[in-house]
Amino acid sequence: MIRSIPLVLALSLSSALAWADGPPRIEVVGKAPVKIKAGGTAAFRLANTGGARLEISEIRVRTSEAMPAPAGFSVVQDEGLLEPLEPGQKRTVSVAFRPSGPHRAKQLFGHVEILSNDPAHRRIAVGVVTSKGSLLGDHMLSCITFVPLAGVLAIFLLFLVKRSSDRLCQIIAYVTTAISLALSIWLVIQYDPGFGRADGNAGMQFIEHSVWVAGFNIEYFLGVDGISVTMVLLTAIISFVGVIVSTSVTRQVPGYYAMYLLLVTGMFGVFVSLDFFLFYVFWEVMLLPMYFLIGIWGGPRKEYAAIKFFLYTLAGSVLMLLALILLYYNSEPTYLVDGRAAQHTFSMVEMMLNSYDQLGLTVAGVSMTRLCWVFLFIGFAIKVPMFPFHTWLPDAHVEAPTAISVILAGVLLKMGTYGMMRINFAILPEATQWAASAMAVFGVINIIYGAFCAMAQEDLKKLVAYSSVSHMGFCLLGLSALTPQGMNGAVLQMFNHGTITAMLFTLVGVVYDRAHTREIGKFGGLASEMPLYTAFVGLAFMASLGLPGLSGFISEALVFLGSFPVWPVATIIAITGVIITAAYHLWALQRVFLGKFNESWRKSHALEATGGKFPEMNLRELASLAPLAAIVIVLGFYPLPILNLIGTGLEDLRQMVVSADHAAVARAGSSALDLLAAGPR
Amino acid sequence: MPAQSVADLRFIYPELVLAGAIFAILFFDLAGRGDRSRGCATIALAGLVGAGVLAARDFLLCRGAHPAIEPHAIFSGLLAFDPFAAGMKVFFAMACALIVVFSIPTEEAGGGSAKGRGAGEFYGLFLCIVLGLYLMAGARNLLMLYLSLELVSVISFVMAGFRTEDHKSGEAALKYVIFGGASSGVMLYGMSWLFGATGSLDLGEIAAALATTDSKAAVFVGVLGVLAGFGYKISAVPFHMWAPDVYEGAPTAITAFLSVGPKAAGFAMMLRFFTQALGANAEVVPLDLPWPLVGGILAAVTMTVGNLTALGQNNVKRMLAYSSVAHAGYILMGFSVFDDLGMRSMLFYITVYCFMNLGAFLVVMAVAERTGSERIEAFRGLGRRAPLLAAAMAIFLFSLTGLPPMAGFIGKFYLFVALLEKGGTGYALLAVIGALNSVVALFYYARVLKAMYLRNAAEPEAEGPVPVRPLYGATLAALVVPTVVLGLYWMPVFALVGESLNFAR
Amino acid sequence: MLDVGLTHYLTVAAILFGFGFLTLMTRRNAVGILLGVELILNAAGLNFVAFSHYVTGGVAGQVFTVFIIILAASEAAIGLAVVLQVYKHYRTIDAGMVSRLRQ
Repeated sequence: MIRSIPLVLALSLSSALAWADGPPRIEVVGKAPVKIKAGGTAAFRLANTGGARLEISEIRVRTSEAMPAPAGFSVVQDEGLLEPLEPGQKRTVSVAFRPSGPHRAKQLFGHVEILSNDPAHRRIAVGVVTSKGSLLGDHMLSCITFVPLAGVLAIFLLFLVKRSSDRLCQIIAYVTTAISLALSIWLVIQYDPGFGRADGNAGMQFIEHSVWVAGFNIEYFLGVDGISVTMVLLTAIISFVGVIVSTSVTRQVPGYYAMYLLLVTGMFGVFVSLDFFLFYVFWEVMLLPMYFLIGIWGGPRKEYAAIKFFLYTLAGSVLMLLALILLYYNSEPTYLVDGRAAQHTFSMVEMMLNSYDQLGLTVAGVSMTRLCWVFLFIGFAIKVPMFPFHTWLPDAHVEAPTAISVILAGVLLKMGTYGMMRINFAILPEATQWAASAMAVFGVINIIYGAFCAMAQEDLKKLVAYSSVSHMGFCLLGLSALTPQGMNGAVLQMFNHGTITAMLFTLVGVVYDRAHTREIGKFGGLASEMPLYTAFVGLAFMASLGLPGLSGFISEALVFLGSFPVWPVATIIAITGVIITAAYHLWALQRVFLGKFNESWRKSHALEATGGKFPEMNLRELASLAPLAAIVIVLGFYPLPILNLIGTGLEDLRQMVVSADHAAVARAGSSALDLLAAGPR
Repeated sequence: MPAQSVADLRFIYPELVLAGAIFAILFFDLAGRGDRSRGCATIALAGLVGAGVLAARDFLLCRGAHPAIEPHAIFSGLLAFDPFAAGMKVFFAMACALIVVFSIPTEEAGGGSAKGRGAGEFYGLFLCIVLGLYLMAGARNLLMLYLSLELVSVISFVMAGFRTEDHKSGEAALKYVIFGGASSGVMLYGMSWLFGATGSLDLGEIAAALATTDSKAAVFVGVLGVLAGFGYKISAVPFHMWAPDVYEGAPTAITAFLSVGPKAAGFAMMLRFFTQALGANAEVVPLDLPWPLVGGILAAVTMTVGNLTALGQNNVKRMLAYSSVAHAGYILMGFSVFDDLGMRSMLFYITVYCFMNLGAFLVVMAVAERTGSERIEAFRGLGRRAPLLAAAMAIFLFSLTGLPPMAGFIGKFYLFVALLEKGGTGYALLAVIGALNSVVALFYYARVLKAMYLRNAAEPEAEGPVPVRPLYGATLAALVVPTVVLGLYWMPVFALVGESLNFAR
Repeated sequence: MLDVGLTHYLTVAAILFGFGFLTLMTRRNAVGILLGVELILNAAGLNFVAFSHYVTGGVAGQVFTVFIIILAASEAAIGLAVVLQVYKHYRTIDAGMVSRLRQ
């Protein structure tokens, strides 16, 4: 031992002398990330710009158990690849991409890691990407998100040149939402349902990944997995339907459509962003248009409803911001997409790999992960809306114009649960397990409380609003169960509820447009006056209460199947909630549509234009309802398409939460039939 | 000595240009004929632009790791020639040029009368204040600190009371004189104790002396006194009492200036004083004095009081006054974190705050010009009567609240980042208070939005379009653009701010 | 005879400061308030001279005091001009009565 000291001294002295001109310094020459074509190779060059010999110990594709590299990437093992580099020398490193079969994802991202003896940059990475899409295919998500924004700019420019007629703005809105809808359908068709974490890209597809603010490690990172793509589809459908319903807006129309399209951009952006900062920006971007949409074009108490909505959501958002910053500063070092080293990261995908819990940090005596989880949960729970943060919803829904209610209930509420899944569940799984029981309790409270409140309402729109509260409780219950059926049921419920409640609000709008009142007591026997309308309302109500054969039943059944093994008592209470749900729906149906027609309508002022009769639904209203009704019916018998879409992504997510062990990546059978046949967990 | 001072003249070109412009305005006012207001405004703008360009040149000369000229003290240690001072000077030039543009059509600057009466005094005095701001940015000696502060203060008293026929202006000036005089007196008393405890007026020597002294009480008293003076300039609670009355009574262009210029200069002086003299950002704080705690409490109280009192205001100028008190509180949050990121976030927030606050005041000026009122009722229906003006106001208000994608959000974001990165319960608590305050602030900003856009059937309709003069329109556009752009692409400005954090030893 | 040292000067200055502050806080007459400000400024000046003589040597403190005197004079001039302007409108120089701005 003692005798080795002079040897050690001599060695260190010599190596110090060897670095007399400065230590070795490794640098990458050329653009990053490196682009590779399928079946081909691409190269980048390593240079030693330091003063001493650079020894390279390893050059490999970055892969780990938790996030495997895409299959097919490899470093071409040229001769002399790992030979030391003298100062000033350069070496070319080739990376090959040889997929075993036709690779499914449009883009595959990876990194090549290089370990060397450069004391400042021990391990560096170079980004590599392969893409087989066209220009449009490569930027599909950006197109879907920003085409409505282009519509906003078009309306603004037209306004500046004073050509913004109501008709033209409506056409712009139709065109942009139709484009987004078409692109979303194309997206769903091109989406590969079987692509999971094990296939690389952390299971995301249609990725767009570039560096936005390098100094702060913020990236422009878009991507979809099973859950997101379902939500993108839902958003596209509901936005388009919303424009059809928007014809009831008659004043300040250009401003209305501008705000509407801005809102649509924000919604799309939230569902596709995978960078937390970008997610937050899109989340907040939604607030401004909603405030104006409710506050300018709303009902009698619109200012109150608008400011209440804004305050509640902003309070949740600032808490989210604090949690976001805490998570950022405790994330582990990683690489940006082009290979730059980042001390911390905003990328949700990378954050999912970090085990925050093991850091064991506390803030004011409370575990940091739990505090972050609670902050984030409150922010999302306000959106869901979860009792006791739900009080903004009835006011906002009642006062908002019909199309905005449709969007609010159809899409915005889903963002709460989406955020819970994408962020709370994926990034903080241990805290999720800690809070799962509380989530279940709150879910059941939502169901029961929402149902009872709905039963007590006299305003038809408020009744539907409270039924939304109730139905989102099912989502919460399903999510908290952390079983495949439960979570699949919850996401399916998100999609189904979106379509069903959009139908409901559109239908309420139909009768409000005619009678200028929504009071249940004033109506009666409408079935004889508007039979087609009654049929649609019947369909929507039946779907909402979960009649087998319509889509609502499948999702609720899956939720119950999934949560009964885990929370039996809660599930039983929730199932009794279904009875109350049926009760208020049928009761409302009976009071408004069945029975004797209220003859005082014949002489009422509101129906003067139509001679005292309730006109049947016109073609436009039918056009807004028919697609939704079709979806509801089809999914009632054949939910497989959506379940397939959700399947793999959700199962990967569930595995991350359940095992709380990021190294374990499993892909359960993603077929929905497997899920339905499989037993509990 | 005299030779050195003469040699140092080449480091104060910006100040010399300003002095030259002041004289030029005075002579032009005396000698010129006809409407002199345009001429005076042009000379003032030229002076400011020249000073700004020269300051930018100074910044480029002394920034970075290997500058052409090392940051050093000039005029026997009175002033500093360093990137911090130069950066602040560029900022002042920009902000004050905007104020000059605001005030061109106003009555007090000669816009109303045929001969442009009052323009010479207005612009001359205004440039004197700017000269004072420049000296505040570079001051590194207690005497210079006091002199420059007084230069700015005393002339601000005059400018606040510039509208001699308006009783509100006179009242504002009186309140300002009383409060300003008292605060500078207390600050002076504190400085005297600091001088006694350390034996020197030079900030660098004070730092050296503090490392070895043990008269802790004297130093504490001294610094508290100095803090009273700074607190008055930045309108921190409880030294903010003058702000609402002065902001409401003074001519709006001056109010806009007061909310940005002296506030930023006060913060700059605070930064220099606390980091240079007290070594507050050092690893081991001399004398173990709890500056972060003091800063944190000040920040929390200022934010909360500012926001809560703003809730009840009906006069938009007064409301913006309380809102700028609250914003001083947010900036103090960054101040309570005495590290590099904290100071950077402070300066960055001051920069974006300048744009959005000046914009909000400009809209108030435009509305008051046509409707004659500064109350919220005057804004009613602005969404239809002047859509672009209302849209600009909406953007400024959303930015002040801190919503993306505006610059105000990025500013607040960096402040929170600085707090949470430092870690610790106290800072986390401060961050939560800051976040909740943002929500409270939305409430009163939304009242203006509500008046502008949301029509209430119960309230009487205000009719008639509100035309905006092209000068104001162009300036508004010039202010909206950075507010939105800096919300999306802010790194260059942030990097510049970081580079400027380099003090002359 | 008393041995007059630093502490005596400091005490006198502190008393002056106290009086000045009290005047500032309690008086309603605007000119009276300005008197209070003057007292505070003089207290600081006295402090500076005392420290300069007893602690540091040199003339830094005395120079500062000369500057204080100059600035106090200019502030007083401006302050009185403002009081005159207020009198023109309000016909009183009672600071409590001059408060039409608060709503």
